[in-house]
Amino acid sequence: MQKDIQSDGSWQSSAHESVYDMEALIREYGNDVLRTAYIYVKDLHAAEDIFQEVFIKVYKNLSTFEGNSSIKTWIIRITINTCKDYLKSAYKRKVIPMTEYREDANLGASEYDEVEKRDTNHLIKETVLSLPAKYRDVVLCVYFNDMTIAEAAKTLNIAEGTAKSRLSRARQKLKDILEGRISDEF
Amino acid sequence: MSFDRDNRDKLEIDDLNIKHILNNSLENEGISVSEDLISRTLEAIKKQQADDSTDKGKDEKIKPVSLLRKTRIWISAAAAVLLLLIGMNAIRFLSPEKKADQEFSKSDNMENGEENAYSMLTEKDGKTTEAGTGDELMKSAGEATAQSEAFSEDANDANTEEKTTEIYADATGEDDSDTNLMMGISSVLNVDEVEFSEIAGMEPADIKSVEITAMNGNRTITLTEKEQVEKFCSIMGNHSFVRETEGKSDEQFLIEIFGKEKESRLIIGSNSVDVETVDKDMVSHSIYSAVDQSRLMEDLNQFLQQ
Repeated sequence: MQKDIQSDGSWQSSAHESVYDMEALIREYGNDVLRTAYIYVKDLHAAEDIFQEVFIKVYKNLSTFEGNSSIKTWIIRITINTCKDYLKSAYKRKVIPMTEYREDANLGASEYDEVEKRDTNHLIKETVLSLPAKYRDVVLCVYFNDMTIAEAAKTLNIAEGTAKSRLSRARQKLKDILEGRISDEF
Repeated sequence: MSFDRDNRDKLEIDDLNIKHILNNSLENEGISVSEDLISRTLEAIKKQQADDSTDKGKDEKIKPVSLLRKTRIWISAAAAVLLLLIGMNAIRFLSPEKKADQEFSKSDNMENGEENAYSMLTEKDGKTTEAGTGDELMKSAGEATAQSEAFSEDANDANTEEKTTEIYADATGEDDSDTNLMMGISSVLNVDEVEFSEIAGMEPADIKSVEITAMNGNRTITLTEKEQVEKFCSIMGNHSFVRETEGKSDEQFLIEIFGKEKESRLIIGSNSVDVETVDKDMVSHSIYSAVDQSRLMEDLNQFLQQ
């Protein structure tokens, strides 16, 4: 069964499915999947493996997608579940994903603002990722993957009220950590 | 980016535009989907598609095996049920209770036959049939069982009762029925009937003398010679008797039979034969009726006249 991406992000069923339709999905939501996976597993190669696994799952289960949520929410839910499975198996294998560190090269004065901005982004990213998992997950769903509270709750298999309270606490923690450390432009 | 969603409150942290920051940060780190990753993923999907086709083919090939297995399971289940039924029937057939039931059924059939015969015979003679008490019926049935195992087999046949009824319907249809018919009846109803030697309690060879008295004419003869005794026994042997529950009627003949150790006294009336047997100190009393009581009395009259 082929399904086409509509302008509103919904997924329209049609006569047949093919790999070419999957390519459209990959190009549309690929970055969201890869980056969500990377945020979870903190390893690019593992994130790429998860990326492939997610889209194979999407391909195999596309006929079961009922359209109750947006296709993106559905794909991100698959991504998060696949990441959790990976982390569980990685924990069993006692493999600790390594975060890649890259040393910045010596920079010129003209590049200083760019570097500062990049550092600020990095600080915010690290702050978000350093949140306790239960707060980080809901922040990623809502702020990074554009889900509503209800969608985030469904994706994370928690009650909507729980999602709301976790988001509120996450925001407060981020505010406490980042306040005074980032420039006004943010 | 706007976070103006229904379930989301506006807070300061929303102004951070976390999505944009994270995307920029991750992009700077090189966390982006490359064409190579897309093509590798598409290849993996194609491979998955091919594997799925192969699996479907395998499933189709496996299907007949699965059907065969299901068929085998059904056949096995049916065979097991069949064996169970056969086993249960065998157990029921061989169980002592069943045998007892069959025996009871046999005696029950015989009892029915006996009752029918008795009832029909008495009707033929124009007498009123009188039902015996429960104990007497049981006694009669018990005797019938003991008398003839061969008859038990016949009595077990469900047609016996019908046959009896048919034959007897013919017999009762004509008052002057012939002897052959009676013999036929006798052969069918022999389980109910006893011979003269049985009611007398002696075989002809054991009889020393016989004294016959015609009560209405007060005529008495005594048979002491062997030939006379045998002739008397021969006449009486032509008659069959049926055990009665009760009956005391007019005394037509008194026959006293003296044996080596026993004595029997038969009082023959118009509808019963009252028998008293003395064996040393033991005295037993029984009531019978002849199958053809009137012919019995005719024969005795003729014998006395001779």
